[in-house]
Amino acid sequence: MDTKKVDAIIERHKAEKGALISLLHAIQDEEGYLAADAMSYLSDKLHTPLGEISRVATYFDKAFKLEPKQEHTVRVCRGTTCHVKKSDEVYKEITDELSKDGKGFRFSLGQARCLGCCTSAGPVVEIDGEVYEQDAAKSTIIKLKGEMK
Amino acid sequence: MKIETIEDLNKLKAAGEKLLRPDILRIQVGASSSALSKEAAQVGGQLKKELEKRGIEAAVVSVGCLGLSTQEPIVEVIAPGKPKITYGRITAAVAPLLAGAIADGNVLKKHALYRTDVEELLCSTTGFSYGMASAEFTELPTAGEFKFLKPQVRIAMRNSGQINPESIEEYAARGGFAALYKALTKMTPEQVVDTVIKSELRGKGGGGFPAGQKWQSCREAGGNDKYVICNCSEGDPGIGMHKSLIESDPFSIIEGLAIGGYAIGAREGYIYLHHGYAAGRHKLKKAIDRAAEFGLLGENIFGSGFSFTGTLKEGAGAYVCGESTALMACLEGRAGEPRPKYIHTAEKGLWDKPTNLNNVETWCNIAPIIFRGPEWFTKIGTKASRGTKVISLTGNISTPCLAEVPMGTTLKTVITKLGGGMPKGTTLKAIGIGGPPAGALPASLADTPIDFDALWKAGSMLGSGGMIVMDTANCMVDMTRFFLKFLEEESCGRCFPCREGIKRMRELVEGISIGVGKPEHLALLEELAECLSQTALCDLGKSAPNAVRCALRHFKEEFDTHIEREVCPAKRCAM
Repeated sequence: MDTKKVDAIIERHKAEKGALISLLHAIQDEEGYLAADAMSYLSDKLHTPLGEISRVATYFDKAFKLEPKQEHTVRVCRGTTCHVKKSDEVYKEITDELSKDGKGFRFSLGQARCLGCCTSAGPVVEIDGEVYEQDAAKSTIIKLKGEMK
Repeated sequence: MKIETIEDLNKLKAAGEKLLRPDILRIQVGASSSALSKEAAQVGGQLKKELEKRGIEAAVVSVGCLGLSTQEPIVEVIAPGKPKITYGRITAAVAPLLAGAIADGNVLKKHALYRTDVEELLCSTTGFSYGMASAEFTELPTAGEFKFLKPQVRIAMRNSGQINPESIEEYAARGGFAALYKALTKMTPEQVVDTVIKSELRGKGGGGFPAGQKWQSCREAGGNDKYVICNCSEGDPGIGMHKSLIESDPFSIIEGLAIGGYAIGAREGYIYLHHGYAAGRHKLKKAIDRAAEFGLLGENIFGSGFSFTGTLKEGAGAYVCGESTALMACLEGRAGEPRPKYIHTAEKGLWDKPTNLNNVETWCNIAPIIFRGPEWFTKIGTKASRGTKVISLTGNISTPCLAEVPMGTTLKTVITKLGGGMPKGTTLKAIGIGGPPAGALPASLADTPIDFDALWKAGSMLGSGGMIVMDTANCMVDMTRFFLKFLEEESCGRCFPCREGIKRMRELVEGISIGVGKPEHLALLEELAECLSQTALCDLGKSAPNAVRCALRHFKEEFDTHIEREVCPAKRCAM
């Protein structure tokens, strides 16, 4: 990661007390993940041991990613309401769909704790930041695959 | 404009009233997350266009969430001198019909839900009167008679869906900041604490600890630097009520927090929410900025000498961060792990200073309690649990919704009256309330009132009030496995009993669910549950075994069938 970007982020949060989590969020927002070199640079600049920084980054494993993201991110909601509506089956169906024609590796598939759409018909799936109900989600994935070269 | 005197506040209020009930038509479009997913954003613009076509000038405003998700997009029509009419399911296709009906001075009967003639306001001595109902209106039920609203008492949700959440004027018009004015200019901090103690308000975050007592010990703790915190990060799955409160009425949180700061002696308030929740951050940030602009946050508020700032801070969203010491670690930029609480956070909390933490719903209750006094509040609810509870009703239910009911309302009333009963062809099996550690209660206990102690006695807990209805297609062994899997993943791993205990319990229940369970495993589960509840470090670990205990108490025969006959009656478990 460009160290100038990290410098700018540190500058932006200069006045904030206890800003480490905010800094990591800002880096991830910009780069999509927390690169090892970005964390070491942050450690040098903040005079904070790298272990302490990676401790926070790995503790919140649902929030921080240590590897670059794929082209598309799919997250199936695994909250209680969606579970009651059989989100485990939706997860399996999406896994199957992605394993079909060799394009699945270009998607990051994961599970979300709760997307907060509990009053919708559900189960819900988030694709690149947009929330869909199960059928719309499946057709969106098929469409995205079709658009890939 | 700085608000320094009661006259200034009244001016702000008058400006807001002009917005809420202008001389022209006002159209309110619900803009909550569930409404937005149903094209609500376009509906407002389309209505405006359709009305303009007919030569009618209208102010179209986005408001918060009314709670009736299945009727979204919800549109309210306020015509000068006429009752307010609430319409449901106004999609883009229906918008021209509604515009036509408004132009003709009619009610679009097919979509009309209820009318409001007069409205009482919680933080104002004068209410709103919209206008008398003429013949075509009287066929509609009033808000008080409307099936969905009848069982409700709205305190925390008093402004939800009624105002533009970004407008400080509209908030003031419904009595906003009157309680802050009263506290700062007419009461001592001790009197404010005393009022909250006498109201017997219990914290709505899950523990149900008396809020006033917590405030008092923080007030009595030494030192000049103190903090108040509002926890806006919902870790519990299956609920969206805090989200709805934040997006519908952010000023109410800020007013509550400022009153709390005055009572405790804190000059700084933190609002904690998780990163990536753009809608909430935007609304809260805007509200903090507006309040500061009007001098309702900042130096010398209302000329009382009391100064208070609000800071928004984003965490990284882990379930355990709902635990107060873990949340404070997060605010300090550290990993969100709990610490032992032999020293209370009221003495040593954020940056080791005395700190008081409450959740969104609790803070939203503060202004009405201060304005109306504790006697008013204690008349609502039950003896052990005063006031109301915001409930999010989801799962296998006809009309999922958000509602606020008096404590003591039974689970059954919520399901039948607010949720419209079970969907056709399904039968109620269990009701989960209070998140994963609370487990689920059987249909036979549907008469249990919503009350901290009654639910505890029944083997569950109120928690944050996320109510999830399950029909007979659900298997309770599978649900228990699901709850344990959640808690296992969310255990921070700091203390051994929780880190290993939940994992082992999950393995045992998973074994039962796939047909390799043995009768002696049930005794082992009980033993592990007892061990955890006695030795875990924080409330996550201590309460986790309740999911197992509740299931074994109410659904033991289902576990037996899985073990003895190796079948899952609901055909949900992979056998």
